[in-house]
Amino acid sequence: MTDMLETVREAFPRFKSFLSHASPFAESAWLGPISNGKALEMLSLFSISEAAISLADEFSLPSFRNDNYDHYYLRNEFPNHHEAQAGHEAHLLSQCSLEDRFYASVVPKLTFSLRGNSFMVFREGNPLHLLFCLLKGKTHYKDRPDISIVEGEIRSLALDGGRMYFEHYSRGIKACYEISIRNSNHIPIRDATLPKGYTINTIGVVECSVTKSKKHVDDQLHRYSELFSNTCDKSPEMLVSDDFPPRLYGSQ
Amino acid sequence: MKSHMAVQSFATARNRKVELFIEFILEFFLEKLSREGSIQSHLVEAQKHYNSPIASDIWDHFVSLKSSDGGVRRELWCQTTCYKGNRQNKREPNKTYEVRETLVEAISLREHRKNSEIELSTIHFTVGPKEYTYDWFAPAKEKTFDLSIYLNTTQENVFDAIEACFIDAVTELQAKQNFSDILKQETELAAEIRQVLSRLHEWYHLGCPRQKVADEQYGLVVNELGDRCDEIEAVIKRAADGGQNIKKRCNEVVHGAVDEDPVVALTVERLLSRKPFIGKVQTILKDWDAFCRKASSSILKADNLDIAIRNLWQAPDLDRLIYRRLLMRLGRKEAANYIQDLEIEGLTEHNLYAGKHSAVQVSGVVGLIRKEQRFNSIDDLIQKICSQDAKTFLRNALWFEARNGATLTPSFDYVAFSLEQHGYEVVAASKTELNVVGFHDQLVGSNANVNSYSNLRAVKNQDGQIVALLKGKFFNGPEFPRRCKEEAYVALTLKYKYVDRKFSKSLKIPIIMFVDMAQEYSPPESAVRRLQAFGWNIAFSVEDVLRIISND
Repeated sequence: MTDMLETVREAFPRFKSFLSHASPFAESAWLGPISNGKALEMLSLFSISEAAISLADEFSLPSFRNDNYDHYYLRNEFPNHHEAQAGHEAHLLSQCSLEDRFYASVVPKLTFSLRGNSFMVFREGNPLHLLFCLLKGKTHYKDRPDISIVEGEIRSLALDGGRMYFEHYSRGIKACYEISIRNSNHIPIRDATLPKGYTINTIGVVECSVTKSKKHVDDQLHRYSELFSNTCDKSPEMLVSDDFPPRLYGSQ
Repeated sequence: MKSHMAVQSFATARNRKVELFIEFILEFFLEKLSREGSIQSHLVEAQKHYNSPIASDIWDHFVSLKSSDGGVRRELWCQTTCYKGNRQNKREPNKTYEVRETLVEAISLREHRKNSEIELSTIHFTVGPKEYTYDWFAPAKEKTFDLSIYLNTTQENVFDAIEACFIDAVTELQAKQNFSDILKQETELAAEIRQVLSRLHEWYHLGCPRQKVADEQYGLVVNELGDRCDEIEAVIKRAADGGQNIKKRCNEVVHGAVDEDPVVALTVERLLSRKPFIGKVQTILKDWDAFCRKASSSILKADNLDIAIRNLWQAPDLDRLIYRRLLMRLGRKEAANYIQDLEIEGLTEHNLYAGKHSAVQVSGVVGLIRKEQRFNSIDDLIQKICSQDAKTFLRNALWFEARNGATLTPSFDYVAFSLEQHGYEVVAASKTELNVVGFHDQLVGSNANVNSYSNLRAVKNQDGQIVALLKGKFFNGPEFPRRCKEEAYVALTLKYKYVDRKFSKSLKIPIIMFVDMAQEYSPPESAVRRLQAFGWNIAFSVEDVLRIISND
């Protein structure tokens, strides 16, 4: 596709399945101008994933419906019907079905475990945190950190009869989520069970920027600090540094 | 600056809730059938995609069930339309497009019935005052769906009553529980729900009677597909080569480019004469300081803010086109309402910016602007009218209005001018001897009025003989299938008539749609097939139009 992509393939052979074929999603990341930030974001994702894997006891790369590796490029964001657009044409004409988009929205880009604790890496969204906030009666925020690392793992992810079901295990507690597959201006949470003590622990957020001003970035990071501050009393098993580039540490 | 798009945003949010409300009704109805032993199993799905050679439509709800009696499998395909209504009970003409789309979806779905072993029915739900759209829609819909259901409340706005069930409901199941709780109460909404449930139940036990006229309408589509099979498929292949993009080329000329096709220049001339705002705003943007001086001087002549606003609103012809737009939009914090919802008698989207308004109407507008407190004083008015925001708004308006608007038809004008250069005369179809009223006029009988189609033109040859009906418009990519859907109804209803309860062909000449689209665009096959299956002959170039007219 481009020289850059060839270099990336060589640098990150573990991710070759996601880098090996041309698709509109891949092209959007690698063929667009550097200034749009997507390539930097993908490189950061690969770097952080490699760093996590080097620390991890076990890890797994994501699998998508019909083994469609393009879906790795989809954001971890729930599909959203643009309110000002009447009808369903946009998603009917989309190259990716609504089901696939919902499915990909909650599939982590990497899952790994460290000393018996699981972690997930998401890109362009922190979907479990958003669901948790909505279910706790908070307003729907639009912030999407480029990369976020969240405790726990997703299990039993399934689509059936226009619904998506999955469980999130975090610190030994299981939460269940059921989402309707709808083209909607609102995340269509059909049902959810959040046991007592269950929470979402975001242990790191990485924002990649190529053109933003320092003030803009500071404001954004401050917003993330507020939004994703954890309420758990036990510190997480791993940390993300604020160095550049960011590094991962297992806690002592 | 807030725009009219916000009205659509409200509609999207409202429709989502109504969709869930109807889903609750359907589930409640099915559970009752299940409890009484009438059905063995059932499933309700939302936003079901119906895909066929002539359709790619989303249906709001899809129900599949298996009856206990003989295990008959049945599908119910349901669409819901919300009519928000307005206090003056005015009909909303913009709903006509949506209405046509709904009818075309219902006719297209009959194909599924033909190909399926499963019993199939279509249901349409209208939530809100059905008087909100033209009076022909309800009877035409009743002849096109198997069952039509109306749900509205009069003492309380039905959408407010539905909205109330979403307070504190985070999940869909919580909202449905709230609906269920409402049903136990003695409210107007509860009574309406019970009535709808009863209607559905009764209809089911009557054996889900079929609407035969709907089958017959689909039969017309089958005829077209059969008679013109080769032609239809050839046009689909040609569609992949893209269009002429006349609209974009005209726009580029408006903004200073030169096009080698002299007909494009003629078209732009027509466009500018129809939209004097474009020429005026171009002049103003070239010398913004001069505009500000003139506006300030005019405002300063007034003794108070009311008079200043009134003077701007009643400014001479071309100036008012600018001032009225600015007065309606500047400083607005809330969404701009539809013009017809402003509740000023006689004020419509067609006369808002250019029309001569009566003293009462002007007072109404001034009162409205003052009530919104967007301008605090004469100085504030001057500051806002001469602000960077105002200039940006006008620049955006120029960009937008040179591309949009019902009176702006560069694609249509271009093809008409081109035909005139080939010796044809192109005139408004309504001014010829042709009857350009759709068959829904006959379908609904004397209970409702159907106007003739106003934006069709007749093509006359050198002998004065009408050789075709013509329409031309730009089809942009994201809306291509929707445009085909809304136009499909026009050709079907013109090409056939409904007399003595029978359909027959009424028009022997071709009904041509000049499809202007981007040069590199390939439209979805089902959309192009649907447009033809409902009676249109499609042309992507003037040569195509000439070929169709000469029956070559």
